[in-house]
Amino acid sequence: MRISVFASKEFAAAILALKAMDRDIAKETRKALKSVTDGQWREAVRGRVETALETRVLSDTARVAVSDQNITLKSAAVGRALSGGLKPSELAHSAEFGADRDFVRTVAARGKTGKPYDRFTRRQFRPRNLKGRVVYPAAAKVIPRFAALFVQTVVRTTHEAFEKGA
Amino acid sequence: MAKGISIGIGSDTKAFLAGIKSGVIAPLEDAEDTLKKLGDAGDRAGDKIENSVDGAESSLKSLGDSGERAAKDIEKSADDADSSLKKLGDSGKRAGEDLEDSMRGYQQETKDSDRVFREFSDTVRTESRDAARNLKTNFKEGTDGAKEGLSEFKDEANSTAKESAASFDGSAESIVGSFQEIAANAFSGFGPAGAAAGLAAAAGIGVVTSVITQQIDDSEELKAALSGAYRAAAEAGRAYLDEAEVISQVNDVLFDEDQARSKEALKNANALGVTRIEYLRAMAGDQDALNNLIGIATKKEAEGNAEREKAYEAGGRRNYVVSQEDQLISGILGKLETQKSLQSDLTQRANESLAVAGANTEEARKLTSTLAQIPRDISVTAKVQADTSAFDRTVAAIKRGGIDIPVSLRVLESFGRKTP
Repeated sequence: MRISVFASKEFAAAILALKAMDRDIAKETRKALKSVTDGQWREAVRGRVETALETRVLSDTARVAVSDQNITLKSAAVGRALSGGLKPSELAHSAEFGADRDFVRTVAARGKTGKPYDRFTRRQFRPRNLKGRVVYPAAAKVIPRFAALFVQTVVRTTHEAFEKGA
Repeated sequence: MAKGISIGIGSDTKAFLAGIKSGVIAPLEDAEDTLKKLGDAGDRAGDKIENSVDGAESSLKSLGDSGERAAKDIEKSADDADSSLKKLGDSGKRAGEDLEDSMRGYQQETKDSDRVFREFSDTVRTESRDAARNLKTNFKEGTDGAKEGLSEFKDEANSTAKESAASFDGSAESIVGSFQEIAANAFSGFGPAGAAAGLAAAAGIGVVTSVITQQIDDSEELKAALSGAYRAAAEAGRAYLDEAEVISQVNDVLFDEDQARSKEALKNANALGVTRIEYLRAMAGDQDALNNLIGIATKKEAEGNAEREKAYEAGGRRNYVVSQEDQLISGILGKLETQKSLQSDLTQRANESLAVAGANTEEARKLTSTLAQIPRDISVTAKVQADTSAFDRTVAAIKRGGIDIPVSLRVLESFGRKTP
């Protein structure tokens, strides 16, 4: 799914070119890349959510970070605690990969008779899926496109900067 | 581990850059091969790119008329790349050969590229000159033994800059060579536009290598700005920055969209108990402000040391604590001193440049350095020509002991007391 720099000469060249560029031009390039990719990434994630929990945890927190050597697709790295008290970053793994729904936990609360209670504490998540349900499929979909965009934008910017004699 | 989910679209980027930096990776020994493969229409790599180009194109179209300039640019580039891919059979092979040749080939192909080529060689000339200068500094700082290599490199840079970018280095570090190769060659796959871009990147790389190998940090930006300002000053016949230049440097930081530097300046200024402007001035080439701040920081550090000594005597080792503030102060002091040495280095360079420029700037220098000694809160003493003979006569008369001054008195009623 991810593209190794060692396998893609184009990617490697783009990285080196961004490193070599005038800092201001590189900055503009990153900005332009981010303005395009950020919206598309959010859309891609939102298109794959199925529950309210996933929306809050994975989709509402989808962001893109563009650096000189990579575009990083992020989710659940931002945000405050949800109503249940957990932050998106703490829920992200279960929301993305699901959980063991049949897990039973004996809770500390006891009834009048002193009888311990069992609860399902993971029923709100979907069943396990090691390939991921929302973010990872979305990433797999957009990565080739973003990579092409990355390389082309860098090539184009370099070319334009060069034509202007900068 | 990163918080949340974080997926980089490229992998091994760190390993790649680290490998190049340490020289373990000699990236494109097979660059020519790669290009030939790219040129082959049925090749997997070529297909892959074409596919991805198509994908990007259509996705960009789906962006619709959002009117965003960035999107349009990219679409244009996608089109360019797409059409040049169709020509890859030709241009790919050609690009695999000497880059200069390929450049000339394109020159014949398109009417435009004549202009492009001329502009390009101008760029390369300037940039390789810059590169030569940078490397000169590096070599100086490095070893004395590199002197020979330096002159070799300079000659080579001068002569080959006129020929082509890809070969303008040769004698410097092998890393530079491989960088140029990978950048210049890998871009060629994108046709004329790509070849030009690759050459530009290759030309810039001489300058950049030192940056990469030194590990980029924030002060690099500041350094560049400062040395640019000193250069302008030297060209104006001065070996220091004037008020306007200092202000413009300060403004660069204040109005930078990325407020990190500004914030750091505020933090450091607070630690020293000065205003942010004062601190920024010191970092922007104002010698007086810098010396002043170094004085303050040294004093603060000494105070901290004294306090610790006292605490140690009173309560033993356990009380000998280096507080965060102390650490910050000594950090700032270190920064200020680095800045000072940078400035004196730049001043020296500016002086050398002035010496090169010749004696006719000598006068200008004297005048400007006199001006520089005028303190900032200016007080002006002006001489006035005036006829003072009458005044002098009066003074002389007073000194003699007697003078008649006609006095007329009038008591004013407005003081509230009625005259009798």
